[in-house]
Order: sequence, then C-alpha cells, then structure tokens
Amino acid sequence: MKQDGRKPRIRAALGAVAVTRAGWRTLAIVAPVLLLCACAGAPSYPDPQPGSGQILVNLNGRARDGVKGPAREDEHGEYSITRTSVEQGRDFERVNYKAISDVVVILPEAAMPTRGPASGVELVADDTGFSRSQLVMSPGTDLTIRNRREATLTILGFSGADFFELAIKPGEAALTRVTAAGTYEISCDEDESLTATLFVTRGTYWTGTSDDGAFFDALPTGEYTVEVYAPRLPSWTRKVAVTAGKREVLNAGLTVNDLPKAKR
Amino acid sequence: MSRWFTVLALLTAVAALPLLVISVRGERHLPSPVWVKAAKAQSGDWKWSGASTGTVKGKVSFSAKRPNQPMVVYLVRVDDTGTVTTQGQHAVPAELKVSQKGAKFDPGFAVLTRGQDVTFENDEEKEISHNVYFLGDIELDLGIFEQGTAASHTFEDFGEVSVHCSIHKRMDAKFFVAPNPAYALIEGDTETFEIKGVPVGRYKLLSWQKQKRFKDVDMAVEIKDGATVDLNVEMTR
Repeated sequence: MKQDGRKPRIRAALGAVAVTRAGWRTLAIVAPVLLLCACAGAPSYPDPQPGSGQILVNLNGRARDGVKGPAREDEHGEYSITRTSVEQGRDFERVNYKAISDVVVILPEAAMPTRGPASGVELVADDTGFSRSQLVMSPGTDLTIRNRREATLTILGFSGADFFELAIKPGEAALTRVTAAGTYEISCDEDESLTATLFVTRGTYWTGTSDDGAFFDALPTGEYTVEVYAPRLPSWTRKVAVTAGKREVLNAGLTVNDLPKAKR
Repeated sequence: MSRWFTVLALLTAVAALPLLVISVRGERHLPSPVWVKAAKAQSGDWKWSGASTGTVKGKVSFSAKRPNQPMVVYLVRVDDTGTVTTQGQHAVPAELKVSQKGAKFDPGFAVLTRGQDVTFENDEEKEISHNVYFLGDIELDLGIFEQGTAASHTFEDFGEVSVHCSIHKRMDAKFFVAPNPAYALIEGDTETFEIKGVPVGRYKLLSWQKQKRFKDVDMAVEIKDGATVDLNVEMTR
C-alpha cells in the first residue's frame, strides 16, 4: 500500500518539475524581452569623448526617516504612522519623493553651450496655482506667463537687483525678457499663494524631475561646483573635478534627513 | 540545457526588476522657499530694563505699488565699525503656539523676538502625523509629531525662517525673528512707525519683506538719551 501511495506522489513531483522547467523556459524567453523594454525606458547617456568630461548627478529623493506611510497610489491621502484614519483633500497631499518636480541643477562655472535661439520658458497660472515652482534659464531668455484664471493677475519677479512686472488679463499671456542673472522670487498681487522661484544663470543648467539624472556632457576639464535646488528641501552643493574622457557620477540626496535634529 | 535556461532567466529577471519602475510625472509642488540668511546674535551682559533710551520714528514710502503683504522695519545694535554686536538682555513675548490642524500651520506667519519660544502642536482630530523642519541658516528638524504631541523651539538667531512639513507638500509657514524688541510691523495701509524705549547706542535700521518687491534698506541710526530720530524709509527697486 505504501508503494502504491508513493507512485502518484512521485508522478506529481515529476510533473511539477516538468512544469517548473517549462516555466523557466518561458521566463528565459520573456525576461530578456522585459529587460530590453526596461533598458529602453532607462536613460542612456553617450560615452565621454577624449577631449572632455561629463557629470551625472543622480537625484535621490528620500522621505524623512521614520515616515513609511501609504504607498504611492495613496499619496493624496494623509499620513499617519498608525494609519487608522485616512483624510482626503488637497491640504493633505503628500510629497512624492520618488519623483520631485522642478528640480534645478546648476554648474555656475560652466558656460552654457551655444545653441540656437533660446526657446523661452513658460509659466502658467491657473486655479491650482503656478504650473511650476522652480524655473531656470539663461540671461536674455524670454519668460512667458500665461493667465488661465478668470481675473487679471499682476505678477512681479524681483531678484534684489532687478525686477519685472506684468499685468496679465484673463486668458492672455505676457512675455518678458529677463536679462540680469540672479534668483528671482515671483509673486502675485492678487493671490499670495502664487509664488515661484526663477534662477537666471550664466552657467550650465538642467531642470526636470528627480527620477531623471541631471546629465552634463562635453564639459571642459576642470573643477566645477554642482548646485542642486529642490522645492522645499535643503539645497545640495558639491565640488567635482572633471577629467577628459571620464564621467563623474554624483549622488545628491533630496531629503531633510541630513538636517540637524532638535533634542526633544 | 534547461539549467542554462534557468540561470539565464534568473539573471535577466534580477537585472530587469530595478529598471521596471514607472513613475508619474508632472505633479505640482509648492515653490522653493526664498529666505534671507538668519544671523547669529549674542545677548551680552547689558539689559534693556533701566537703560537710557530714545525713540525712532519714521515714514515708509514705496516707489511702486506696495504689496499686500507685511514688512518689518527693525533695529540691530552695531559697534563703532557697523558690525552686529550684543543685542542686550530683554524681555521676550509669551510663547507662540502653532497649530497643525488640517495640515496647516496656524498662524502661517509671525514676527518673533529673538529668544522667544514657539510650540508646535499636533492638534489633529484624527491620528495624523506631521513633521516640522526649518530652512535657512536656522536649519533644524524638530521631528515627527504624532497626534496629541508637541515640541518647542527657542529661536536664538534672527532672520527669516521657512517652516515646512516633509510629509505634506502644502504645509508651510514663514516667521521673521527680530534680533531684539525694537521692530515695527508695517501692514495694511500703515505708512508710519514709532519704536520707543530703544537703549542708547548705535544701530542699523533694516527692512524685511514677506514678499520681496523692493530693495531692503540699511540705514545707520544713533539713539541718544531722550531724543527721537525721524527717518524717511524709501523702498525702491
């Protein structure tokens, strides 16, 4: 009886192995395809050329230590350590550290490479606020501000040394050419919540979302300062020496974790 | 043969997993804070109480439309070379309590006096946690506040302080910490100010604007016993 009982189990085990082998074969075919797809979506950078160097700044957004909270899809809910309640609403919208928008990276010592005419930078004001919280551009670039609200907006940018002021009717846009380098605080007469920061720099810059890396190519050899500005987070600065034919990779932490901690 | 398939499958799956991250873009963030650098100041061993004092008064004018936001004119005590010196021992206002209910700092703006305590209270009605941190030269993380907890901080330096919660993206506040009690808040239609009881000595009269629209002023002021200094503070671009 025992022998009879073992036979089906052995057969089942052999079948499982066969299924597993078939599964592995399938995975062996599917996985490279998945890898190729993933690689196609991942950023790829050109190899450094012999006469110049590169800088790649990985932008690592990290929530404060101790904050776990809901997953990405729940970020519009509030955060509670115990998660016994979930409040909804705009005020409870959480910071998404996986993709922090409008990060600005500047290399002040590196002159912006000559390109065609500057295409300009646009900022849109609608009922939810400004479309961007941080902008960056070279001196002499046109800044267009579009008013999608139902009332006229008076927008002012002030750097401490220079300013611009635009009165923009509903549904219209206004353009200004910002010529002086500096950091401009953009504000609105009619709505104090409409604010943004405009960096106007003679250096080389990058702006985007933190899940991309800030990549700088064809940099002449030498020492550079790398400045990283993320909304509502401490700025990050490093010096790096660029050598010919090499890519320097930096990891910038976009986080409050490095701030001094208060004694409680 | 199947063993090689297995190895190949495992290697490629492991390599692919970290790259299969899809992120959502285009979300909106509140802007980066723009702050003036806070400055260190010492009290020294002299006291405001009992000191011979004078008065500073003046009128603030604007070269263009003034913002709806408040500004502060304040005095910083300096030495003969114009360098910030001891600010003296003075009384400080009562502790400021800041609510965090509804994921909002309330008040969201305050002018404080150096040495003043601020208590942040998580007074949410439900179990909602908050974090409080400061940016600027006063960079500090006060920690995570669970419902029903609170923490205090004494502001020993002066200047602008941006207050944020690292969890909730719209939870921001702004404080200005004056170096001593000699300041005046200019808001609404106010155009004049008067600061009484300023100890005799050399000062700089400076301005701070919640919404930066004009060049800040920096005026030398000397306070003499019983005298009044009359100033015209011109805010220009």
